[in-house]
Amino acid sequence: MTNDLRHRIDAWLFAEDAREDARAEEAFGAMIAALPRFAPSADFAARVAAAAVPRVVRRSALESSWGWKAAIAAAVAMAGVTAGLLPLARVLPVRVPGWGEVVAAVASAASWIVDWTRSGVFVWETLARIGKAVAVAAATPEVGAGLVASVALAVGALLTLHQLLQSERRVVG
Amino acid sequence: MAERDEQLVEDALEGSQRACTELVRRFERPVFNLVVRMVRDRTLAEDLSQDAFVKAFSRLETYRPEQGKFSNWLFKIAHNTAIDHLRRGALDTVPIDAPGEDAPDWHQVLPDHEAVSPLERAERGDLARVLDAAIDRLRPEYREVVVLRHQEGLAYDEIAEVAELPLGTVKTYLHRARKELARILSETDWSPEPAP
Repeated sequence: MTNDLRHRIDAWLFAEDAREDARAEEAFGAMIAALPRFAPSADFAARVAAAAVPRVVRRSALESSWGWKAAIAAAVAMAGVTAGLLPLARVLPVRVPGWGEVVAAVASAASWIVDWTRSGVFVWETLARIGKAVAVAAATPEVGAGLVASVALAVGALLTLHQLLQSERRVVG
Repeated sequence: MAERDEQLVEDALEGSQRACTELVRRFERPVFNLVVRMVRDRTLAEDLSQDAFVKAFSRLETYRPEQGKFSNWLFKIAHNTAIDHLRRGALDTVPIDAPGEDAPDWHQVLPDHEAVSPLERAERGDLARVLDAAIDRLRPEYREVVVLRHQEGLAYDEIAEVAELPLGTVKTYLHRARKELARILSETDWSPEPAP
C-alpha cells in the first residue's frame, strides 16, 4: 500500500510539474481515493444507535398525528370562513332563499344591471356606496365584534396550516 | 445482495430496529471521515457525527428518495452540523503549525511535520500521515469538497447540493485544493522519486 500511494503521489506531482491539468486532476483523485478513511472508535456505532434509533418516528404514529392535525386545521379553517361570512350577512340583506326567490333575485339583479348601465352610474361611485354601507354596518357593536372574531379565527386557521407546512417541509440540517 | 439505502429507510420508518442499526453501521465511517476532515479533532468529530445521526434519524420521515441519494441527504446534515460548530467555535482558526494549549488534538495524533523531513517519514511508511497533515493545512471547505469528490465519489452537482455551494465554486475549490496541496508538499521539500 505504501508503494502504491507513493506511486500515486508521484504521478500527480509529475503531472502538475508538466502542467497537464487533466492528467493531474485524475492522478490527484486517484491519490486521495487511495488514502485510508478515518474510522471512529470501536463503540461509536453502538453509541450512535442507542442515541439515534429511538428518535425515529414510526410512519404509523406520523400518519395518525397527521390525520388529527389535518382534521383540526380543516375545522378551524371552516370556522374561520363561516365566521368571516357572518358580518357580510349583516351588511348585505342576505337570507337563505327558496328557489322561487332565487329566480326572482336573479331577474331583479339583471334588471338592476340594465338600469345601472342606462343611468350611467360610474363604477367607483357604486363601490363608494357599498363601502359606506359596510362602514355604517361595521360601526355597530355586534358587527364589529363579529369582524374581530372572524379575523381571529382566520389567523388561527392560517397559523395551524403554517405549522403543518413547517413540519412537513422541515429543513434538513 | 445488500439492501438499498432507500429500502432500509422505509423499513426503519416501519419500526425496524435492524434497519436503523444497519444504516448507522453503513454510514458511520463515511460521516465520521467527512466530519473529522473538517474539524480536525477526533473526539469532537465523534460527537458531531453522533449529533448528525441523531438529527437525521429524528427527521427520517422527511427524506424523499426522488430528491436524491440517502447518503447525500445524510452528508448534508453532517456538513451543516460541522459547519455550525466551526462557525460557533472558530476551531479552524488555530494554525496547525503553531500548536498551543488549545491546539486540536490532531497534533497529538500526527507527528510534527516540521521536525522530520517528508522523505524520512515516507521511509518509515508514514506516507498517508504526511499527506493527511498536508491536507489538514487546507481550508475546511477545500478539505470537504476533496473528501466528497475523491473519497465518497460524489458528482459535482451532488457536492454542490451537500455543501450548499454553486457548481462553479465546487470546481474552483477542487482546483485550488489540488494546487494548494502541491504547493504545501513542495514547501516541505517533498519531491517525486526519479523514474528508474
